[in-house]
Amino acid sequence: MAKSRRIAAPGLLVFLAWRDLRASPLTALVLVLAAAIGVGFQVPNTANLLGYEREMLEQGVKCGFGEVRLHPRKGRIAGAKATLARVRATPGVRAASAVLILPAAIGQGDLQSVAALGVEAPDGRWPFRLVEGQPLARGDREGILVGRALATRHGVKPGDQLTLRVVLGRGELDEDVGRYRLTVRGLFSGTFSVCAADSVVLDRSFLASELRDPEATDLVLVYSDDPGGAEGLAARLAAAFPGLEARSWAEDSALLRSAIHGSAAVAASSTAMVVIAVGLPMAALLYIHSLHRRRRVALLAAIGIGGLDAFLVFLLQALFIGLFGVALGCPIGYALVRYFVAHPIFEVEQFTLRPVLAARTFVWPALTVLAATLLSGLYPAWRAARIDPADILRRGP
Amino acid sequence: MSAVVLRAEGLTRRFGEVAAVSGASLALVAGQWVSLVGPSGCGKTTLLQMLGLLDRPTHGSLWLSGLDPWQGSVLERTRLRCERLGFVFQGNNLLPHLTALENVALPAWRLHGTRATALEAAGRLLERFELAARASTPAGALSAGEAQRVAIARALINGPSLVLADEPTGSLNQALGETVLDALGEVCAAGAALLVVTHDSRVASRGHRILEMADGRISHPAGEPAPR
Repeated sequence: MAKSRRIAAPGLLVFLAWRDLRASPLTALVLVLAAAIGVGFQVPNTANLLGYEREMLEQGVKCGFGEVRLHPRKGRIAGAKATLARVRATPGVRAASAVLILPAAIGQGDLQSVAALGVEAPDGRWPFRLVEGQPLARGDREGILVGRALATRHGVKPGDQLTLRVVLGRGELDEDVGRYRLTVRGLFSGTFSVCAADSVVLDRSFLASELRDPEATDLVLVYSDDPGGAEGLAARLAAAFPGLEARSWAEDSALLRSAIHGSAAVAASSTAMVVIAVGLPMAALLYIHSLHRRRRVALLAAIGIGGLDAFLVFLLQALFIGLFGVALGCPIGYALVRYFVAHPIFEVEQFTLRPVLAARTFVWPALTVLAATLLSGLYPAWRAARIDPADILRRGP
Repeated sequence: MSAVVLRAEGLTRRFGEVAAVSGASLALVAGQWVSLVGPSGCGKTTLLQMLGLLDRPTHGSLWLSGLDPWQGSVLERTRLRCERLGFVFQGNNLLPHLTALENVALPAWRLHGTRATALEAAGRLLERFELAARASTPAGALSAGEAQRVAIARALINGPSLVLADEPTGSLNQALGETVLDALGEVCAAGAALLVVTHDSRVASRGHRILEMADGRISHPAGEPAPR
């Protein structure tokens, strides 16, 4: 007696699944299109959501206040120069910048309150994105960077002069203390950091010298280029600098954290919608398809290709549909992503949502639709496997 | 003396209160053609399905080559159908989207797991039934007589010990029916036991034995005791 297999050879299962699908081209086409539409919708959706998250992290972390911020527990950071050097030498730290924040006002005639940020960026990592002009040179005592929105409001551009008044808190009543006439070197933008609002940037050493405290620093910004690892880095820095409070970006910026959580929630609900929108009609069609195949399943059972084989054949059909749907849906999704790259769905002055075109833009939607297809094929396959061949065959051809 | 391939004792199949088959006993011997005749609705098909391990008897015992298939699992019964049984139904026997060759090859492919061997064996059988020229024809495009002969070839491909045929000429004219009956004759020549369910006396007369069935009961010819 030949040694019998528990399930049919994979080649036979694939053969039966494929040939049966080919025998119903219209049903197969509708099913493949349903899967393709699911992928075609979800790919640009994922790309836009990834782009949104990337832009937020770019502005709030990479071109913002870094992955971790070191705050003094009270007053200013003592021994800031040595602290900055030690932070920069910490494993995992790519860059660190020292920031001094003073209340100030700017304008041409009437002055407007702003925050004056004195920034020292020895690694060249500034907490904003320069959009026009030049960055400040180290030790620049005559230059200032202005937020683009603020510059528009005051009608200034790079090269123009601007009056700045800084509250130095030196206890002097001289009208000219803290009053400067500065040249606008450049304009910056940023949405998710302090720099986004009404603020200007100066050289930290210049402001510190005006304070008569060369090391005056309110904040050290730490950049690791790994937003996901910020919590761990914050913990390490907190241990290394017990006198300072180390906060990750997520802890320090409720707006950014909420925006990213919101984006993740939208992504999750979008995925769920795709699973339902693709899975339910597909399950219905596959079920109807399996009902039309009951006599064939019964005939196969009679010749020794039984319920487990039938289950796998129907599941393979769902897999084929999913794979073809992904193969067709990815180019559709790619074309839509290219369109959204050229025509961003969200574009304001400081914030442009550019879709992310990467492997994960396609992998996650493809896996989602494949999973939805397989899930929707489970019940029809199970029903096919449980067909009573005697009952079907008794009814005649 | 030829070996008993299948023995059934007191097979009963009830559907609710109705007994479709009641206390049926018979033995099928290798190389022998047994015709089971009776009017429509007398329980012939139900009995054939029980003998073919497709339907479980409500009562009674069944041995196939000495084994009680209902002691085993569903998978084991499926395996037995593949290895030892062949089925020929009245019509729509074949998978219409597959070719004649592929239809015949399926049970062998399932049993041995190799496509090439199965197709080779199927090709030989189609030649034997003078259907080689129709090997690559989709089953849906075969004539009724050709389709039945392809079904018989499929029933034989794994060298079964028993072939069960349910009204194999029911949908054919006389000339085609004769061709199919000749093909069924080859089943016995191949050494298998053959049970043909029919209500056609012409078909029944081809058998070595004729069993009559009425109201779910088999009446054995005079002088032939019910098997024990």
